[in-house]
Amino acid sequence: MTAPVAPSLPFPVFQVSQKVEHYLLYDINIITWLRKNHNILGVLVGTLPQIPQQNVFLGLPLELQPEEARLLVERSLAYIVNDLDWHMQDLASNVVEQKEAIRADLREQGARVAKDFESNKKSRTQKALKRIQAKSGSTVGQRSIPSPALEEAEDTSEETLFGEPLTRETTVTPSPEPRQAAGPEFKPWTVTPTTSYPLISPPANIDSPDLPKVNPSSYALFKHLHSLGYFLSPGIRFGCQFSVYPGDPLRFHSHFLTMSADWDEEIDLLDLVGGGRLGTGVKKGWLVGGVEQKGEEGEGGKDSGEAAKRGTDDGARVRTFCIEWGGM
Amino acid sequence: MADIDEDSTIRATPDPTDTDLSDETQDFRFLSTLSQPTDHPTLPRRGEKDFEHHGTLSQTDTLAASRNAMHDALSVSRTHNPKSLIVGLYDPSDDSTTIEQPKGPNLRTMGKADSRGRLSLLPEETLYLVERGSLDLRWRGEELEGLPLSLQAAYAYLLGKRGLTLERYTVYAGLKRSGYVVQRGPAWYPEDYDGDFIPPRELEKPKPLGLFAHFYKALFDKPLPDAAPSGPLVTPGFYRSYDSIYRLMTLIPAHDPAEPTDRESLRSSASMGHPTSPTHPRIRPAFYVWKPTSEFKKSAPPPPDFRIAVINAREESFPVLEQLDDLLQSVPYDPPPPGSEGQTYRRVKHGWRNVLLAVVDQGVVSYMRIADAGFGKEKVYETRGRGRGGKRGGFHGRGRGGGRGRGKGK
Repeated sequence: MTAPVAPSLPFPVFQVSQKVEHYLLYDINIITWLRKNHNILGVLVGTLPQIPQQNVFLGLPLELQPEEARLLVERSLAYIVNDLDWHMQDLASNVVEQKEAIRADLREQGARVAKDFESNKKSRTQKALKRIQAKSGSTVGQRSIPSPALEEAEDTSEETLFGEPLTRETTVTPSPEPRQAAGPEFKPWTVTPTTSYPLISPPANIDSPDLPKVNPSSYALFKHLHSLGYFLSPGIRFGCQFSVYPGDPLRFHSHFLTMSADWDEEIDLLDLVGGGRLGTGVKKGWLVGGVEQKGEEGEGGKDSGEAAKRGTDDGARVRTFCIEWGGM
Repeated sequence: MADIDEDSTIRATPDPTDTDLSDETQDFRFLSTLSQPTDHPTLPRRGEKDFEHHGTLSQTDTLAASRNAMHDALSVSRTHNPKSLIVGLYDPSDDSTTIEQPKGPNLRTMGKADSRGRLSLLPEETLYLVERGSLDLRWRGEELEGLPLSLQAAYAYLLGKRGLTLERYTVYAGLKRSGYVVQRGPAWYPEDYDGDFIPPRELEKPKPLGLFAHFYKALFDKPLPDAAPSGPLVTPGFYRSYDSIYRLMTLIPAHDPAEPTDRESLRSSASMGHPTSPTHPRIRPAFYVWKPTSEFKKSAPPPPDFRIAVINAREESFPVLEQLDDLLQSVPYDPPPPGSEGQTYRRVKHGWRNVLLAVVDQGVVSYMRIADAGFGKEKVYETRGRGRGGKRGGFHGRGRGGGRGRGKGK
């Protein structure tokens, strides 16, 4: 359909402020680009308009985890815009001509959609009619089980096939002149745009001093794993902080269930056992990580599992431990 | 060793009903299998993904194809056929959405109609309809008249209005997508937590004890011989059944779910958190949910099938006992169904009051059911013999004493 386009940088991330702040993205180009080039997943939270009555495939907007938003801002890939403030300001300042232009643009889009729909419908009608013709023309006995929908269509009209009456012709020859909506003048459809930028100018990059708020210990771990090329998504399905994938979750299973901890934090032994068992039970490792404190009794947690990896990030060393259920 | 056996049996027999496809990121290439107009769309099975990169071209291509499919699926814009167009007007000055000419099956269970047939929608209802492409939402007001709200504008304006948070909306939309009928619950009106307020759409008070509970009460409130402060628990005497002996041995008081708890009666003394208490705010169901099969009337909704409270996984911790107790006391008394006597497991699972918690972590929702189990009310010694006797038939006449021999289930 449409090829992904690389976004111009930095791009806006829209913040919805309530008691808790949320970060949303509406532009599919940005989302695809982030996924491909920056291992940022987010979570789709919206309804897919083409198949709304299901929960397996979701649609826009995409909610970024605060860690993801923070990372993008720190790397100057994105900036935070308060969505409501921006809308209010820009809608108020929008001039009349602009609005006219927008209306015209939307009308044009709508007309295009209507035209596509009508021509699609026509070609489907023709196809269906041809099928019917071929079927009724063929000798009885061959291809004897037509679908009930087609059978019905034969009897009555195309109504049942397409949901709305278009023509009543039963001949195969396509009639170029349907009665209603003749010619190029279809009634334009109306369009609900996904993003607001075609309507109002894109938000300016005001350097906001506030970075997305994150929990320091979980952010350190997030950043560390992300810098190693992992993909991280919210971990609630497995009762952890993040599920960690070795590649795009579209293709790969996750390897680790992670939980961050402060260096000197007491970890309940039962949590270790529980996490380790859970992780092993779903064929993943349970990973605990935190920022190492230098110069102090840094050997404290060493025995609690096999040391997995080391890495440096912003000078602070994050150490991770992977725990598995031994099952002896 | 037993643990390992347990593990392997669990892994060997995955419960098919326990498999939730939305649990995992699904391959968008299979979206078309859902969109085809068959009656039984077949969904891709789990576990067809790879464990790790193996650097093959095939793997790279598959991933690229999946990504393209995802990109295409998400690029589809929402368009409205003029024949079935539903227009909503949004007034930013008072955050109201009005539909002048309501039609279509979606609106049957949503919104609130006025005398002139116009429908006013709550923010979450508006947002959901826009998102699923069923509503053309436009600005009301002179200068913007007729311009549509984009999906983004709808989110920006509607979230945060009239109590709508993104967590609540995520839960709402998920339930609606699954086909449930959803209405607001008391959580939206925190100022009225304490009592005499009648939720706008339903009157709900904890029922006084039902017939069943009365029966139970009558059973247990039989005067028992007072336990002596010292001496044997079971004083020498004549006992006709084991029941009375067991009853004498009941020393530890147990919570009776049919009665209000102490905390409930103490609540006014401010020992419990106030709605504004920062540490343990009071929780109430945010949604009343009905199964899609039920005959639902907006004007007179039946008692809901589920009550769902919404919790943010990152900001709030799991409710403490006080919060849970307070929450459970606010939902109606719902004892195990009559006829389940003797089926202890079923009764304990059902509980005497129940509520669902929806825990939201960045758009991912996890549901759990909390019930006041009332273990103290399930007297194993009373049901012994009865439940199993029924199966074989003809055992009823043998009486309780006869049950002793089959004490395996004790």
